This record gives sequence, structure tokens and C-alpha cells, in this order.
Amino acid sequence: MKLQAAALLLTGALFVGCGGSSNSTDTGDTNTPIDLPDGLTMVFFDNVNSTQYLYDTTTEQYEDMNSDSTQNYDMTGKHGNPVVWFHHTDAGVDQKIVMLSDYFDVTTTLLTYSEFHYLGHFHEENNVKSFAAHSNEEFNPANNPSETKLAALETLNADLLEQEEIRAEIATALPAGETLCNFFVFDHEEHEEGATQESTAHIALSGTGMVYVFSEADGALAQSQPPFALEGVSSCHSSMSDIVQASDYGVLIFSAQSQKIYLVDNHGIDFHQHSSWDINRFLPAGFAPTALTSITEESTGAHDH
Amino acid sequence: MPMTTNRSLILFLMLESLALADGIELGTINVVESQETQSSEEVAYTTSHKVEALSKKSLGETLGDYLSNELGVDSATYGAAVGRPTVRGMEGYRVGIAQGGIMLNDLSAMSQDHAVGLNAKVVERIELIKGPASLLYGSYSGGVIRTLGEEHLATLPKEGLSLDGSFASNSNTGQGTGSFKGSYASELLALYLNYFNHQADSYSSGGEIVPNSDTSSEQLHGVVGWQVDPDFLVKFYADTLDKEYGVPNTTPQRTDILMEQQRYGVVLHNKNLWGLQNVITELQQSDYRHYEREDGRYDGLFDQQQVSLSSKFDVDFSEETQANFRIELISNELKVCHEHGECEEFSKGIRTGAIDGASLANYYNSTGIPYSHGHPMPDTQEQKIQAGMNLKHYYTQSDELSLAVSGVVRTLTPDSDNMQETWLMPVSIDPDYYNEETDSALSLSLGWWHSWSEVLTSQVSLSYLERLPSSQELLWNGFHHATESYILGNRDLDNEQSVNLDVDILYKHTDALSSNISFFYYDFENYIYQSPKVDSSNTPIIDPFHLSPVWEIRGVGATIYGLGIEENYAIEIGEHQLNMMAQFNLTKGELDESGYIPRMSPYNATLSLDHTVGAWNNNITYKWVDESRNEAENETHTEGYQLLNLSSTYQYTFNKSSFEVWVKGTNLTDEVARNHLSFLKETAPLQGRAVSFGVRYQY
Repeated sequence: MKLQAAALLLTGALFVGCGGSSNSTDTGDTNTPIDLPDGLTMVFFDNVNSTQYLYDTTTEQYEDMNSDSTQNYDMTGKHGNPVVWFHHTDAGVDQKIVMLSDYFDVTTTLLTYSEFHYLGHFHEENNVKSFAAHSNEEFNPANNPSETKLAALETLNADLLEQEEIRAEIATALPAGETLCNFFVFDHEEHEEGATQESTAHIALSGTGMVYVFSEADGALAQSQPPFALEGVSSCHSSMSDIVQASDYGVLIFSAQSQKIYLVDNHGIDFHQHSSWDINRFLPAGFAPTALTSITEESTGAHDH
Repeated sequence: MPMTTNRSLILFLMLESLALADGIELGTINVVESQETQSSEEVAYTTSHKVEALSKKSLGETLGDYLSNELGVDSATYGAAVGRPTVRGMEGYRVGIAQGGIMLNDLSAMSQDHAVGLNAKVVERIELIKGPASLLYGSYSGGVIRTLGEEHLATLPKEGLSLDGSFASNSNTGQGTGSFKGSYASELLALYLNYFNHQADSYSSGGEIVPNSDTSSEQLHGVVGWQVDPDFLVKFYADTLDKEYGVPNTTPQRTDILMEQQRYGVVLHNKNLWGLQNVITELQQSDYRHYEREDGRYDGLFDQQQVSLSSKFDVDFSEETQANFRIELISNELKVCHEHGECEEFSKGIRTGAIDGASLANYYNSTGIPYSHGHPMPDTQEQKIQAGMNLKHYYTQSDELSLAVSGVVRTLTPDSDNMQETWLMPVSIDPDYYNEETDSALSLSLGWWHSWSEVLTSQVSLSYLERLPSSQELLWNGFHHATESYILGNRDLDNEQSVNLDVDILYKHTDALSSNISFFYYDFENYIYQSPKVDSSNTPIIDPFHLSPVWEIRGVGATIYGLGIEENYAIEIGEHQLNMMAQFNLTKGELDESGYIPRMSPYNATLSLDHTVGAWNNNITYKWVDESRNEAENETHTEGYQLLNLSSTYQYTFNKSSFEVWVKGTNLTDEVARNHLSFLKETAPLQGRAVSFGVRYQY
């Protein structure tokens, strides 16, 4: 028997169960699970004041990445633009986060060590993987970087340029009056090989905050469903939004305008906003990121901006 | 005195029930609503049952379970926890449920997965009201089911202490029910408590567990009564209901519903007031809320707060002419949240200044259907005034003519603040979608009760009923998780209109044998129902977000008709009292445009033998339900089934106490029985074989 029921009738005024306390974890102020897709390591960055948090969606714990100045990923006092790099190696795809300088533009210059701050990915030690980062100085020719590092930089440049090509292709496919803000393409490898692309979804976020979904057929992109808006998003700038992969059928879209993450996925026919999370549900109050990147320990095939 | 009243009064006195009887003198004519009749004994517009009697025969704990043995009544089950009664083929909004003088504040008519906001066990009596008498409560083609709690009885509980407690187990669910009812009363004051608890793990059918068919429900009801003077009684009441139940649907993750309701109110009973008789005035504040969860995630939240004020009274114009009046003012606010994982609390939609309904408009332009993946409907406020009158005139002792009228005026105010900006209905598609509107409906009913002879009595009513479409039928546009369907409302629905003919005949062959025949024919001008939406090639349309069928709210011409026959035979052989009952129900629903109406009760028949000797009472009931024969287009077939139930009760009385033990076996052949009325018939067959043991103590 619920005490509330008895109390209600016997005293008419006593209510119990209100004002529950938190579970004392670092995530949020309620006991309700956040339930972002498991397995993601997300890096949120505020390019205005350089605040940076890492958030593990499985453990639902966050970490201040600028709290330890000895770490290469400490961004205190710096500005940047984090991107995900799907680094294809002989061992598979190693997902990395590259904190580019916020002024870097791959269409005008190639990336050198001085145009990024760190290159982070999962390091394995004693069968335990943890996020760590290489300093850009490790890629400085003056410091005699390894051939592997130099090759990696070359591959990164190639990938960044290829993404610019995709960006241009999607931008062209947008309706008149729309500009491309961000994009994500599933099944990147197939795209490269020019295989049949009918099922390959290209997710595009326009300058007006609309989400367009394209599929590639006969060498051209065509809208595969009606476009839709995200709640609370009416405009988009590439430096104030991001799209990262959430699963084989979904992406997470971040908007600095709404300070929300949106799960856009497809479990029927059309992609749609499945759910959303306010950033302040799982990150410290007052933190207002401008960018999001996310990687997993598993290898996947995809491209974001 | 007409036969109906005379017999009613006798039964009334025998049952030692309502104190309304104090105001009734033999030789005058009583109001229909105070009649205490059983369908086998009398023809009347109101049939009243004690809950204990219904409970003994019931296969479950829902209101539908309790009433499904009545002629023309079935239960739209949705797992073990949900069973809203259907009456003569009418379901949902066409069947009204009242708690005393107030229409029940719940959302059970809105969708089949929403449980009725009361446990039948917690009320004292249940009435089935049809014909002119039902118009006092509104316009319901299926009539009104009226529950009476202690607060609705016009007397205090009997003086002194009364206790009534019972426990029952259920072998199928592994758990059971417990109830406790107690009262303490003096001549002027009384305290009454009624507590009910029902726990059930997932049940099995055909030897296999039906996942997520578990139920947990408890309700506590308390009443304080004060006899201010012999003609004036005040009863305050409070009620809290909590219910948590699984939805045995096809989703791989568990779907469940957490429901809660609180009600507070006062009922004033005046035997005489300003020349009016039996004035019952009730004021109630209630808050209904339920959450819909999938895999623990809060995907849906519904909340309806309601304040109601009703008054019901009788007027004697002359010895031959009487009238019953009822008026109810209702103000309610419905809030809806239906978004993946975002419905622990309500929130307002964000407004960015972007074009309203941009995404919805894109879908409308692309598919012709304004698909939405936001909250499925705006919050709404309703202010409603409903008034009914039932005027009766007795021409002779064998003729009673009734004329009833019901009128309702409703102001419906949608509030789109909860809606996500991009899923608002754009003005370009419907400029009036969120506009406040005031609608009205008027219903009339004419009834003729006639006693042809000592053995033959008939009752005929012809009604024109108008029902206002519900806010959900008008405004819902979105996915519904629990039913796994996309519901497409219709903002332009007209009032549902129907002409209803009800004929009831009682023929008493002998004092022991009687035949009761009930025929009905309902012709709808605008039957509002959910129909599978199909494309131009007649292929069912599925929604683009969840691959679920799209159900469209339509108003179409339709006819629903049927026949119910009940034979009762009572005989005494020595000390053995035998009561036999045979019942047959036939219901058919046809659309004017060809085809049948979905989810109509299949033909069914029940045979029952009740045996009483000394302290023993035994019952055997056999029910046959036919396969679904009159299926709607795209409706799946349902196989017929048979149920065999047995019960045996021993009652031992000593001093002022009685002690009862019973054993009840239901579905003894462990038939895999699927309810054609249920959206979940495939995944949630009825409960398989179960044996229940129970004890009850009364003081």
C-alpha cells in the first residue's frame, strides 16, 4: 500500500515522495538516465571561452578536459574547431578527434602542425582504452616526427579535401535559397568506390535549420524525403553546429542556438527527430558549447564535415 | 401503480438500500433512477447491480470484466489491466461512465490502452442506464454506466462498526487481490474506508507467458458523512488510484503505463429542497494523469484536471407526471506530451520565429497527409454545460411514456503552446485549426413502457442522439506508442448523429421461467470511428516514421443492430435452489458505403447454472464465442473460443459475522482465447486456466 494514499485520506495533507535528491553522480540533477546512445565519447567545446568537456554516454560521466594542463588536449586560452577524422589504416578505421585552429580553411591551405591543437583518439593500455591526445608539436617537422605521423597528416589532408568535395556536392543539391551548414554521409567507403548508393543517406543541415536527407542515385543527389526542422532551431552556422554518427541508422545533431542534441534516425522509412537532450541535462550548468564531436571505440564508415 | 415502480420498490426494500426509499410512498410513482432491478426480473431503463454479485461472476478486475455477463455487454480488453465495457456494439465515447453525478474524469474513451479510472471493486453499485433515462447524463448511444460509491448513497452506513475484508489468490498470475472495507457510524456521523489492491504477474495462455501482461493497482476511497438533519445529508470524499500495467504489444522493449488519479468532492443529499425531491448535488475536483513508457523511457504523458458541479433532482408535477432533471458544469484541461523520452513533465514548445509548421507542411505537400512527429495534439481546455430532463407520464397503470431531452454546449479551446514549432498545423493548411470554438448538441428520446398483461411487459425507446466529437477525434495527429498506430484526427468532423431504436420484452412464462429479449437498431448519420487509411489502390498506408498503420478518424453512415436473448429458469428441489440462465448476443455493424465496422463483438452465448444449498453456492458457466464473421476491410480474422468456469462458495454465519471461502476456476480448458474487440488480440490472448482461492470476512 502506498503511504501516499493512506496519508492522503487519513491526514488530508501529508504527501511523500516529493523533492527527491539526485544520485550524486556528475550527470544531471535527477535519477533519470540520460540515455544518449551508448558507446560514444563526446567532446563539447565552447570556442568563446575555450571551455571543453568530455562526456561518456555509456557511463554518463563528464570530465573537464581543461582541468589538467599537462594533457595535450587542454585548450585553456585557445580557440579551435573540433572535427572527427575517420582514419583508415591497415588495422581498420581509427576514429580521431582533431582540434583544428578555428581559422583553418582546407580549401585555401593544407593542414600543417600549426593549424591544429591536438589529435585525440583512444589509446590502449593493458587492454583498457582511454581517450588521449597527441600534441600538434609532435607533428612539427622541427621535432623530427615519425614517418607515420607525417603520413597521417597527409591522409588527414586528403580526407578533409574529400569532405569539401562532398560538401560542395550536397550544397548544390539543396533547394534554391538554402545554404549548407553541416552534413553527414553514411557508408563513406561505398561512396568512395562509387558503388550503388541508393541506400546511402546524406544528412544535410541547412542555414535555416532544416534537415534534408538525400540519397545518391545515377550519380546525383536527390531528396529522399520531405525536409524537417529541429525543435528550437531556426538558423545554423557551421561553427555553431555539428553532426556526428550515433548508430548505423542515426546521427546526433548539435545546435548551439538551442543548446540541444537531437537524435535523428530512421527506424521506419524517413529520418526524423527521434528525441532530443538539453545540454545542461548532463553537462555543468552555464556551459554553452559551440561545437561537438564524437567518436567510438568501434570502427565505422562515415564522414561528417 | 405501474409495474416497474411496484416491483422496484419491493426489491428496493428487500435490499435495504438507498434511503431515497424514505421519500417514496406506496401509491406514488418512483423515479426511474431509484429502481433496483435485475435484467432477468424486470424491464427498466436502469438496471442496478451490487458490486459483490458482479465480482463473484467476473473473470477479471476491470469494469468490463464485471459487466461482461450482462446482456449486450462485452469488454474491450487490452491486456489484463484494461477492459472498457462495450454496450450493444458501442465503444469508447459512445458509452458514458459516470461516478454518481459526475462523468468520470479519465481518458479511457480516448484509446483502448487507457484504463478506466476506477476499480469496480471499490464502488458499491453499478447501474446500466439506457434509453430516455440515459439522456440525463448526455448523449451516449451505448447508454451510461453509472457507478455509485458510498458517497452517492443517501444514507449513512449502518450504525456501529462494519468490516468487510477479502483476499483472493490467482494461480495463473501468481498473485491476487485484497480488499478491505470498513465503516463506523453513529446516528449523525460516519467514516467509511474502502481499499483495494490487485497484483498480478504476467499471465499465461495456452501454457505460454504473455509478456508484459502484469498489473499492479491499488485504490483507496474514503468518505465522511454527516446527517445534518433528517432531510439533509452531506458526504465528503477523497479517492486515490494508482495503477501500473504492462502493455503486451509487439514492441521488443517493455511498454507500460503508470496511471494515477486523485478525486476530492462533496455530495449533498436533500430529500426536499424548494419543492424539489431527491436533490443530489455533487462538486468534484479530480486530477488524472498517466505516463506511457517504453523500455523505461517516458514517451507519453497525459494529464486531465477537471472540476465538475452537478445537480440532479426530481419534480412531481402531479401523481401521473414526474420529471428528473440533471445539470452538470464541467471544466477540464487536457495536457498531452508524446515525444520519445521527453515526457516526464510537460514543456512548452520552443518558438524561434521560424515558419510555423514547416516540417508538417513539407509532408503535406509531399504526401497529401500532414504527418507530424511532434506532440500529437495541442493542450485543450473544455468548458461544458450539459443539461438533461426526463419527463414521465403515466397514462394508466400499464403505460408509462417518457420524453427525454439532453442539451450540451461546449467551448473547446486548443492551446498550441505545447506543440513544437515545426509541427504546428500551418495556417496554409487549416487556418482555423487552433481556433476556439463553441459547439452544441441536442438529443431527444421517447420511451414507452407498457404492461400487456401479468406476464408480458415491453419497453420501446426511440432516440435521436447527437454527440460532440471529442477533442482527440478532432485534433489528434500523430503516433500513439501504446497502440503502435498513427492516428489522424479530423478537425472538420460534424456531430455524430444517430437514430436509435431499443426494444426490450420480458415474458414470464411462469414464476420460474422468463424470457428477456432485447433488440436494438442504431442508424448513424455520422458514425465516428478509426478506419485504416488506404491509398488509391486500396493498400493500407503506413506512416513514414514508424512503419505503423495510419488510422483515420472518419465520420460515415453506419448501422449497428443486434439482438440479445436471455432465458432464466429457477427451480427448487428440496433444499436445493437452482437458477439456470441462457444468453445469446448478436451484434452486427455495417457501413453504409459497404463493409463492416471493425472490432464488433462476435456472436456469443452463455449457459450458467447456479446452485445453492444451505451455506453452499456453486456455479458453472460455459461461454461460447463465435469466430469473427463480419470483419471490416483489412481487419484480421479472430478464431472463436469457449470458456468453462466453475466456482464454489461456502458461507458460515455466526453472531454478527460471516465467513466465506471460495474457489473459482476460470478458463478450465485452458483455451487460447483471443478477444476480437482488442487491438492486442494477437499478442494478448485472454488469460488461460486459473484457479483462485479466496476468503472473506464480514462483520
